[in-house]
Amino acid sequence: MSIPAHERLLDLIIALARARPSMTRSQIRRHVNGYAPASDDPRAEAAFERMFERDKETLKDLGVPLVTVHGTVHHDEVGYRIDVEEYTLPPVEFTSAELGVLSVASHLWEGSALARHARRGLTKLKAVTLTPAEENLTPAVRLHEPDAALPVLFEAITTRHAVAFTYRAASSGQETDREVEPWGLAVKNQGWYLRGWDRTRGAGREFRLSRITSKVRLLPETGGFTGPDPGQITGEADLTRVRLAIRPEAAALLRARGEPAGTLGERDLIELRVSDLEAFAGDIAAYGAAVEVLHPQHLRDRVITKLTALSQAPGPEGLR
Amino acid sequence: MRDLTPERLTRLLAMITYFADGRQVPFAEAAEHFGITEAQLLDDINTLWVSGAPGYTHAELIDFEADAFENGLVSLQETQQMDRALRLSPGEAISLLVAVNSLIARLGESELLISTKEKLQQAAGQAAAAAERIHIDRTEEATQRVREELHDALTRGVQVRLEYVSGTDSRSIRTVDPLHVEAVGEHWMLRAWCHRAQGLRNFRLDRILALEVLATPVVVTDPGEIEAPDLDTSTFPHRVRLRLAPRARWVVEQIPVENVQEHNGAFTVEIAAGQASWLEQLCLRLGEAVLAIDPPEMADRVRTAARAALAQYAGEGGAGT
Repeated sequence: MSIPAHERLLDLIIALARARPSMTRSQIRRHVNGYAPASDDPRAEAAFERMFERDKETLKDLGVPLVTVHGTVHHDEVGYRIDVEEYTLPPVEFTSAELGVLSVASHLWEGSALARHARRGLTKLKAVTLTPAEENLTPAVRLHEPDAALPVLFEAITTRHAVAFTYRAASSGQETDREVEPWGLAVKNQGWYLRGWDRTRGAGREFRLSRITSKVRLLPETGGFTGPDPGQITGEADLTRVRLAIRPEAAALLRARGEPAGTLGERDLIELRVSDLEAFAGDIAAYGAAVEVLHPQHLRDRVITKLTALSQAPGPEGLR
Repeated sequence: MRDLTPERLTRLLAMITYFADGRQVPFAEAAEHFGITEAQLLDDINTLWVSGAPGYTHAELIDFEADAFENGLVSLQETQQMDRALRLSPGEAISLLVAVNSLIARLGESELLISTKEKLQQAAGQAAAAAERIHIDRTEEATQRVREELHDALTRGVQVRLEYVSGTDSRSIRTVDPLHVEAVGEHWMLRAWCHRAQGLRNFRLDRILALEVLATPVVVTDPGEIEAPDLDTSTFPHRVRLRLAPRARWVVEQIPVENVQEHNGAFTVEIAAGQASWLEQLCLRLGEAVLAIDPPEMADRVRTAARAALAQYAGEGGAGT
């Protein structure tokens, strides 16, 4: 009967934590429970290699510090051991209430790949907290729909790797490939933003994650970042002054967010500052005949483009 | 099927640390601590019992006290030097730290949250610095004031009068019994019994234009007595099928849709709504990304609304005014 993966990995960790000075692959195969012994069958050899590579990946993912030792005893074979000092969690003990906070926090990522990381982290901290968790946080907080790109961006930021992705510009809707050295992430304007040095443009930029249209790839190089350190990032203070004409009684939310600026016939003029013009063009178009953009011209044009297309929108015949 | 090996392995290692001092822990208590069933706990104990160092003779295996086990107690006798706790991986440390930071951003800097964060930073080591690069913006001041007033009303058990503007720009004044305030994503939501609608309603705090705390005690206090608002879209009377350009992909991410079908980058979705005006506004928002609309009545409605809106722009350019 074959040994389940979690049992094999546990035995591997125990073996490598006490390996002096290290264990080679062939020693691991011979001595650690769960690995098939060496054979003459090349397929079995390939299967072992795949299993061992996957096991190393899993250990790394869990934060187990696996050290590779080159040519100490067996010059032709690499040895492995676990750095026991590095392995160990710094001394820390949580109270019941603090463990309760961590439990609530770990649920914030529910529905995303981060949830597994958070739950595993919580399990590790439960190991050093002997009292049960006590949850008493009010009011309730939920982090809505974490973005799918967050785990890889978290990794890129921690390990200082540049990332590559396709990005749809908010202004033009054009898609371009970008290479970015990530500085950090922010939540604002109802979404997640990546801040970083845009190698393609040679400038600090903010990217809304929902406008990334490809997978985010970690670039393999580790040569460090070429751009300057995070200083002023353009975009954040990049607010456009917008002037609107609003029908009486309509668009209460726009009125609440802006400042009155007189009247135009029976309509009220409202001015406000907007960061994301493309999203705002959608907001305005959705108000239909209740709101007209007076300024700036490019926002006005953008709304006109949307409305013109819709004034001739195909019906069901367009679905064929 | 998702591979649960990393979760299981993490728990097995955590258990060795947790039981390392050899004290006797009842099965139920241990299972509850790790959030698993007793059956899972016993399965884990049995796995630990046959694990150990190469050789795998009795002297090299993890060992529990058999008598205690017979009596429903876990008592670890031999840890094989695995009693040390495994540190957090960078991914684990950051996901927990960012989550705690976002709790602080929403709820304010309470003593409990700060002490949790400090200990977590201590546990995280180097990853703690990386987590600080991920910013969670604080709740805006405007919503903060509404939130404080609602908190006041909730504490005193009194009604509030709201001036509210809905997602379809209809304004209303309602008297409600507040039940619960919750941050959902970056929005704060009020869940309340609405006396105008005679039902449970959710209100976004940033859409509350004005709020007055009344002296009248609330009538409805226990949300458990009342059914949740019906979010079953199959009961919605209005339904539309749209062919959309690739750039409108956010619709699938942010709105409940059905029957998504791909067409060389473009895609078709079905969307149901309580009000036809909501569907009309969604189409207007999408603009040229809408490639086709079914049924014909909705297509007509959208074309008419677009023409009416366009009429405003027919005159001289507005940029100069």
